[in-house]
Amino acid sequence: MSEGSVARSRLVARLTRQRIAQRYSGSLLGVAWAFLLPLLMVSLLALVFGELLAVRWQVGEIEAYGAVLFSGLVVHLFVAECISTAPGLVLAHAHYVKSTTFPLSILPWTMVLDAGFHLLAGVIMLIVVVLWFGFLLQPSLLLLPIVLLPLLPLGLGLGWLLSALTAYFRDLGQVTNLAATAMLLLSPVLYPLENVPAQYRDLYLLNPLTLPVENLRQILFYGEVPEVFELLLPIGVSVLFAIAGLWVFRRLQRGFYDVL
Amino acid sequence: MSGNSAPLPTESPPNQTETTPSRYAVELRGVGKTYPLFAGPGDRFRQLLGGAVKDGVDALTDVNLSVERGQIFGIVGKNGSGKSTLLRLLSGVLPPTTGTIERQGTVAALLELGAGFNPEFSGRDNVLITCSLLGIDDQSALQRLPDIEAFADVGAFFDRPVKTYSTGMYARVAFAALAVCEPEVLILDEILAVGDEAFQRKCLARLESLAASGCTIILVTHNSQLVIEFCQAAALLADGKVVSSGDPKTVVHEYYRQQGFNQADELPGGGFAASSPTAVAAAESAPRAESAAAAWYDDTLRSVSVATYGSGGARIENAQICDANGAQVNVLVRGASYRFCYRVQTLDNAHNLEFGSLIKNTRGVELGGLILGKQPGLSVMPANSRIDVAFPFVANLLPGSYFFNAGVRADLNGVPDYLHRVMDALMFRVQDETNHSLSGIVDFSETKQPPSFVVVDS
Repeated sequence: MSEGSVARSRLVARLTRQRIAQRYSGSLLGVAWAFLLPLLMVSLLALVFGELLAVRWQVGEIEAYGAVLFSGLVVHLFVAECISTAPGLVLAHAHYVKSTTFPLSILPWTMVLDAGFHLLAGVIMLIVVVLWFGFLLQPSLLLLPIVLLPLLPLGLGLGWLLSALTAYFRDLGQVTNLAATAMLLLSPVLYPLENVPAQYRDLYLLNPLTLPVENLRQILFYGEVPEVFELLLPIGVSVLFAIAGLWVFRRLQRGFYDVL
Repeated sequence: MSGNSAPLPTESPPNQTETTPSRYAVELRGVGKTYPLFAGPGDRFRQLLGGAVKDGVDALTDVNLSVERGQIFGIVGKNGSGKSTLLRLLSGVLPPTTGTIERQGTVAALLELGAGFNPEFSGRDNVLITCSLLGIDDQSALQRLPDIEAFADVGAFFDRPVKTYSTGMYARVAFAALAVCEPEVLILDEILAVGDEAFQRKCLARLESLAASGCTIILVTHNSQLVIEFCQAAALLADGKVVSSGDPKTVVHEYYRQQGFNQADELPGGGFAASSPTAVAAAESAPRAESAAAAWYDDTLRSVSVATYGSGGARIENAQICDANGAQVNVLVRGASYRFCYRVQTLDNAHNLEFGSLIKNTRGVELGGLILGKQPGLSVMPANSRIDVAFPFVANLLPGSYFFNAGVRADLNGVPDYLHRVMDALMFRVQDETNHSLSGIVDFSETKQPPSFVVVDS
């Protein structure tokens, strides 16, 4: 059994490497795009919301809209990447379904690791930006892996659920990008949660971006350790979601051959 | 994803003589496969979440097969007989609906062209993925890569995306990857049919050496001759059942017989039936009533599979069969003498001309040929010469359809090579007759001495 999982992790590692290499093959700047793109994205958003619409976001004495926005954006970019890629995962590998015993359930792993690589690049740029804004790095930043941990099972769950469902209902691929945009707009990424009328704030907790983003800002800008409950809740929920996603995937997998 | 690690029975029966690694690489017991019928993807979705499956199509029923380790095992059968389903079950792509499948060791399958490779990745990347799928670690995969690249022999395409490949290139790379990775069981579906002849020979040689080193090879092919020559065992599928298995020759003959009864009811006892569709179409359009004694010319009996190649230094024209009186015929009488004639027009100066003829049956089995060459009058031939060639022959063939090849060779740069070769240049038939004492293709009977018997003891 363990031999099988070793072989599978090798396969995941190879596929992920090739996936990332393929994304940048033929481009002049190559992997540098992984660092540039989030920076360009946050510049655009900061220009529109920070300058033109004049959204303010004070952290202590510092007006830091760009940096705070960026901290939310890296999380959103990860989830958006998963949501937009997941529906095509099984469809794009129909050639494996028909005549190989390719372990399809590993595909979401390659997707999540690919997105994770870009998240890492985004986080590095984020730290650069945060320092540039004049913040000092706090010991609480050591909690970063735990704060970002829920994204892994969340991405896997999305991968399993959406890729399996889309094999049966192609329409799903059409609406997922809309869902990703909704998730961005209805989260405290572009504006502080305090700006939202109080009666809606609890609803924001249903957005899987909300708690990781809030936790990230606490350890990054305020040097505070988030409440244990708020750290563990997203992890627990995401893990349950991933288990459910895998269950659905395994169930629907039996019919892939018939519908692809 | 199932059945790869089928456990052996914990208590072995007392009469079981095999030691723990079973001598069978693959064993199927009572295997059946039913494809569910569904109205659309949504309906299939409902079925998977526990909804009732209304109906299904039985692709296989009660299949029992054992393939020994190190065997080359052939599967034959008409289209729709369940061959591809069987291979998918064997390779684990599909789970069986009923019965059990036991597999020993890693199973690699090449089932469909274009499948199994990611079209966006290069051949090299896909080969590495294939290696990973077969459980080979990165280091030994990289060690095998030069071998695979050399065997595939697709040049610079090895590093280009697979979507730019021709079918031949695809087959080369896919086969090379599997052959070099040496899986314990290798399953191939008609994959050898796409490569050119040289590559096919290379593949067959590789398969033989793989089998010699203990790899079990299971292949589906429409080339029955290949099964007879190449396989140690075979199975014939018909309507989703195994109707014959064991000795390849017996299985293939059963296959011929089965096809014969479906396609030509005028078969002589135990004889071979025409099986190639082109030949059948031509034969069926011929009038049935034939005078038993005389050869004649049937205008409708034409070869529709003519293929030519060669350097272009000469041209073969007017291939025909003539009887003793010089009249053109193509429906022959068994045992009579004829001449196969054609005219050769040289287009370049030619050295050491050779002329050839070859009779094949409709499955392409080469039955016999005559070569005319090494003659002083043929050593130097100027361009634009015309030569009439005749090959007298005796039609010692059983009723059925046959083809003649014609070829002309000469020394090109010191090596004899074809100036022009016409495959299936003409088609002829040996007349039906009501002689049930013959079987096979060739008539070996001695007309003066019919078969006889003596009762030794009674």
